[in-house]
Amino acid sequence: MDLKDQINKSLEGDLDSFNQIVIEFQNLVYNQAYRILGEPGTAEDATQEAFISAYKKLHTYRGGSFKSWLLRIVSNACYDEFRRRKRQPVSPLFPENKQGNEVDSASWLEDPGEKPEDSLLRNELSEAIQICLDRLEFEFRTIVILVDLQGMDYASAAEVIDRPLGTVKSRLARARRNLQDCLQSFRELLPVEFRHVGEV
Amino acid sequence: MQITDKDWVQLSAYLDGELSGRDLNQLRKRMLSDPQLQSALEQLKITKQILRTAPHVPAPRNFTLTPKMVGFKPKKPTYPRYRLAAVVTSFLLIGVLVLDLGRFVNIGAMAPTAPIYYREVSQESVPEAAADAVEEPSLLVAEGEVDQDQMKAELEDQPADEPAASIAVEEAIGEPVSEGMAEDELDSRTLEKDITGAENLAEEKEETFLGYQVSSTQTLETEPTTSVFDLEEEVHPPERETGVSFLRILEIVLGVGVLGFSAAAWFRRKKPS
Repeated sequence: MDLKDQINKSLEGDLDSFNQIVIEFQNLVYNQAYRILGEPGTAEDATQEAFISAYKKLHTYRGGSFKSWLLRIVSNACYDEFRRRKRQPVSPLFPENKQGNEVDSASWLEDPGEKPEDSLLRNELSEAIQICLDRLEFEFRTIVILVDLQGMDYASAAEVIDRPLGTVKSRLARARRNLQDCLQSFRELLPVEFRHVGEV
Repeated sequence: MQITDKDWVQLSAYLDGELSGRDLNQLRKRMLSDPQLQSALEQLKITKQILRTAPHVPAPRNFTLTPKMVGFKPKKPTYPRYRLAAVVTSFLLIGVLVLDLGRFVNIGAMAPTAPIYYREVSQESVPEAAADAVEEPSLLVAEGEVDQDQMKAELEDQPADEPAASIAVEEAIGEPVSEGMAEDELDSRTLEKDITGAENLAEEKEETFLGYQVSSTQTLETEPTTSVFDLEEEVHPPERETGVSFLRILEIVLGVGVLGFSAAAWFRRKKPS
C-alpha cells in the first residue's frame, strides 16, 4: 500500500493505516523535534503531539509533499512546546519540596532528561552542534535544521515555515554565520579538516 | 572589500544551488576577483558540512496512535441489537401463536353446544311465545299495555281466586266479563279472545315481545322485573370469522420481523461496518 492509499484509508478513520505512516515518518519527525527543542523528553512529547495533530488535520492535506506538510506540523508543535517552556518558572537555586522546605539531595543536580542511551547518542560534536543550534532564534534554527540537517530545498523549507522564499534565503544565511561563529568556540571538538574554519 | 549581508545571502544560496540568472553570473565574476568572498564561501561550506555530520537521532520509541489518543470511539458492532430484536420478536411470535392456538381450541370446544342451543330456540315459534307471554299480566305491565298501578288496583278489587288472566281476557275482548255468565261459556270465550288477541298482539309486537323475559318467580304483589337481553346474540351461534383475523396479520408481521432481524444480524456480523 503506497502513501496515497494510506492517507485515504486514514481519512476514512482507519487508524492502523495512519500508524503505518507514523512508523514510516517517526524518525524524521522526532529528529526534527529533537534538533529544534534539544531535549529528548520534550522532543518525544512534541513528536507525539505532532502525529495526533496530523491525524486530526489530515483532511487539510491538499496533496503535494507529505513530508513538508508533516514537518510543518511538527515545527508548529515544537514552537508551542518552546513557548510553553519559556512560560515555565525558573527552578530555585536551592530546591524546595512541596511544603517549601529546602531539599538537600544530590539527585537534584542530575539532569532528568539525560539518560545513558542519550549520552551515547550525544557525542561531543553533536552536542556542540546542538548547543549552537539552541543559541539561534526559533525560526532561524528551524530553517537551518530543515535545510542543512534534513536536506530540504528552499522552496520546501519555505512551505514548512510558511514564509516567502526570500525570507528563507536571508535567514538561512544569517543562521549559518551565527553557527559558524559558535562552532569556533568548539574548535577542539571539530575534525582536523574543519579546524581552520574562521582562520581567514 | 567588506562582505555585506546581501553577499552572505548570495553566497549561502550559491552554496545550496539556489542562485540563478544574473545574480549567479555576477557572484561568480566577483568571486574570481575577490578572495574574501572565496574565503567566506569556504567557511559557509565547512559549516554546512559540520552540520551534516550531526548524527540523525532515531526515534526512541514508536509514536503510533491509539484510539484513546485521538479521542476515537470505536464503533460498536450493531449485530447484537439486531440479534436481540430477532429474539424478542421470536418470543412475541410464539406468544401470539399460543394465543391463536388457545383460541382455536376454545372454538372447537364450543362447537357442539351451539347447534343444540340453536335447536332449542328454533323449536318454539314466535307467535306461540307471544301467546304465552300474553297470559302473564306482568308482561302486559312490562309492555306498557296496562298501567302498573291501575292493574294493582284492579287486582285488589277482584276476588283472590279469580284468575289474573281474566284481566287479559277483558282487555283482549274489549268488554267486561259479566258475573252471571256461565263459567264454561266464559272459559270458551275467554280462550277464543285470548288466542286471537294474543295472536294480534304477537303480530304487532313480535319483535318487542321477544325482547323481554319474564321472571318465573314473580307474583302480583311484587314489582314485575324484566331483564333485557339481546335476542340475536342468544339465538345465533358464535360468528365464524370469514376474513384474515388480526392475530393472523400479527403472526405474519412478527414472522417477517424475525426473519428480517435475523438476516440483518447475520449480515452485520459477517461484514461489520
